Amino acid sequence: MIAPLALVAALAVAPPPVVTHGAGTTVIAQQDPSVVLSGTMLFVRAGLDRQGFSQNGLAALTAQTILETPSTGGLPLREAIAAGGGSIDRQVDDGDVRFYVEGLAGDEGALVDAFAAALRAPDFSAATVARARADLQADAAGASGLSVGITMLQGTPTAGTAVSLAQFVPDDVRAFYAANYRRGDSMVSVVGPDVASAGYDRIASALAPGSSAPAYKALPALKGHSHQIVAYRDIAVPWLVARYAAPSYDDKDFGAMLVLSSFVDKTLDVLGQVPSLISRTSASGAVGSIYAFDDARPSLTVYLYGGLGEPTQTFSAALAVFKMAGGAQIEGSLDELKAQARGRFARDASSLEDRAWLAGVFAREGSADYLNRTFAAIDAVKAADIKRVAHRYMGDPTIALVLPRQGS
Amino acid sequence: MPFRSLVLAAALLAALGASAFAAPLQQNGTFARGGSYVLRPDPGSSIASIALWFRAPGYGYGAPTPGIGQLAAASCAAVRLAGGKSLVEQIRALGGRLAFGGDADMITIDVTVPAGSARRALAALTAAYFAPKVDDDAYKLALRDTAVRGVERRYATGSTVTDLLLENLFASGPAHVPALPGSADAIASISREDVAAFAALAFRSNNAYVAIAGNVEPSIADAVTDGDASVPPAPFAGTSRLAPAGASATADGLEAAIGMGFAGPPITDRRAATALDFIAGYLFGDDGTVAKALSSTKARVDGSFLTLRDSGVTVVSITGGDLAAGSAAVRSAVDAMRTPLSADAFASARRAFAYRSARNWSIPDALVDDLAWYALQGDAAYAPGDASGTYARTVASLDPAYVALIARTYLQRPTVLDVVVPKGSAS
Repeated sequence: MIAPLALVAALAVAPPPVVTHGAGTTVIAQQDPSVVLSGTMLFVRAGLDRQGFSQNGLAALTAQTILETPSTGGLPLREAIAAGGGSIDRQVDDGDVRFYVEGLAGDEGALVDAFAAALRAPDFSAATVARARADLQADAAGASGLSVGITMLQGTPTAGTAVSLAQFVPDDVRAFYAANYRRGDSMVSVVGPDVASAGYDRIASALAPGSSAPAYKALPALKGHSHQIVAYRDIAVPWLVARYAAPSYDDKDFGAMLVLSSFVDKTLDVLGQVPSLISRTSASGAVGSIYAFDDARPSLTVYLYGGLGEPTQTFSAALAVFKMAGGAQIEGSLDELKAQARGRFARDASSLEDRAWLAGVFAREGSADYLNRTFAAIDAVKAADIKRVAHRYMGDPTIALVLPRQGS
Repeated sequence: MPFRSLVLAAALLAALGASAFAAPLQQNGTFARGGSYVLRPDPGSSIASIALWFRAPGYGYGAPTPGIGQLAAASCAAVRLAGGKSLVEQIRALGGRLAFGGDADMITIDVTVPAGSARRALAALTAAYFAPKVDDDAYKLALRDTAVRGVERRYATGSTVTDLLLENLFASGPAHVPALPGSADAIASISREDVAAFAALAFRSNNAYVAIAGNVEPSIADAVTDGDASVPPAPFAGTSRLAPAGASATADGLEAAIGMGFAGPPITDRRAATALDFIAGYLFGDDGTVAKALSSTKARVDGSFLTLRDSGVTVVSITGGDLAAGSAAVRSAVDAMRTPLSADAFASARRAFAYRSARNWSIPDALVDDLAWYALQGDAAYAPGDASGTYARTVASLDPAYVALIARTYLQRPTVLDVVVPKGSAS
């Protein structure tokens, strides 16, 4: 069968995300007829900043309790969704809890209905909360050295600790849910070939009206050379992690920081491996950076994995280069660094889940058209911007060392 | 003019059990200058991915020389093209990524670039490979790149197990020979002249299959201006012969591991191959029965069915922790598959498998690899990501009795590999 040329030509135009407000929530829709899956992300203002200091882990425990709530056939929600041909996961960050449901397009209605039912009436029985607690502890036990290092520098562990989780009773979870799982500040971001049937209205209406409880005052991010945290884990080789404060995605310095992070990656590649390699190799994954531009306390995290050799010399040399970046013209072509920044952002936006997440994040402040907005921010960067942003942010990082426990 | 056909793939989604709606477009064709391609535009994607894969013996056309294929691929990428920049430099300037890989019967070059750059990337790729040149500077740079990747492969226990299992499952042919040698010296012993001669044979446009997906314009095939359609593919039989089943072997490694391998059907037996895909997913997926049987601290088990032109293989690697417990869990789970699952359990498992399968190729860089792999194994339409929906229909045709029959037929006597750490060596 031959497609009409007009239809083929129409494919070259990507429709930007469409933002609407209704049913007490914000809906961001990305219609894409070229994909065979459909993804729906719910953002709820029930993240870490809704926990008190004595409630370490309660936000994650509440979210996990929803995933463990009995659903179709008596299975926990996450297993019921898997058996229905889909998946569900959750992320807890400073401000939000994000649930992401994905399935074959056409199946998403049933999957979303199952999620909405659990969201509307979570099971706060002792058995379900206990399962959720066990899940979190298993996740923590299996965490990689890198994620341990990142968590260490966040201040509050996203999933609590074994001790802090043990203190919570079902009524604590119920109260946290009642106070924070509200429609008023929520967003639903949908990507798929038929977003109209994705069922976002059913998700939104599963939440009680009104706004989430006020956030607690956020702890400032650790900053300065005096802070160094060491942890020991049952891992074979060390991870070295450094964290710098960084601008948010809606800051004027966002584009410059993206370009600067390309410089950081390039420096780590050169210092950490054989320079001038033609292609990326497995070793490339052993060094890198993560720019968390959507966090309440945005950061640039630099990491090195010690599995391919002695990492400390590379680490110290890299930190010295970054510190000097604000005082001198950085090496390399600005155009190439900008291209690398565009490429990296584009790759990080390629899965349906990333597309749903980014559209939701960017919709909070300005246009939801995350790709063109970011590309424009990168294109506008000048050499002087890099120098200024490096001077402002790339001073003394906070450092986390995750080391093998003796005998590991 | 290149030949083109366009397939509207509503069948794919219908076969997966989803309701009908506007489905993805797929364009299959041949370039005017030789070589086949498949194009899957997705204007909503932030990236474009191109897989330029050659069906060629990665160990050379003469006496086996593991690594010569990837060395040649790296050399051509480093040569300066008209305009003064090499492919590597051009892809870097576009903000893209370039990666080489492949097995003994194929050489793979993958590129991912941000939206808007696909045309230039495809033009540069085909300029580098459809008219291959190897000069001294490029060769020297490629030696380093290939040596690093060869040494790295030794550190990846899963890859080591798979390589060694294939060596033992097959008595001869491409599947028996590793794609890369494990020593930098072996790479360095390959001469530039041999690399250039290999490139001239292997990188003919008519040996190539190009899969393009993501944010690309439908007319992108016109960007290819190199190649010679009149030069036929280089002769390559590429037949692999199975070794007797049930063998056992021991090999040295950097980490203790156990491998199990089972010979399976060729790609032409689509239904049996799909049943083995299903079994591998059911047993060895993240939520599979083996993972559930083992706590995270006991052992890590990975398993998959490799669909191959001749005989496919189920390969399982057990690493970390209690290897004996992992091995027992695998054997027990495989035994259980010889009895049909209940209708309800099977229906759930098949639905979950259909989703995971689709998820595996839902990103452009995964989709192009999926499409190119099956094309080079001789059955492009059977690729799970192909818009014809052939694979999804085959999944839909599976039933509990047939899956149990396939388990009884193909999962009987594994070839077992023990990877041991030599005494005195550091882990």
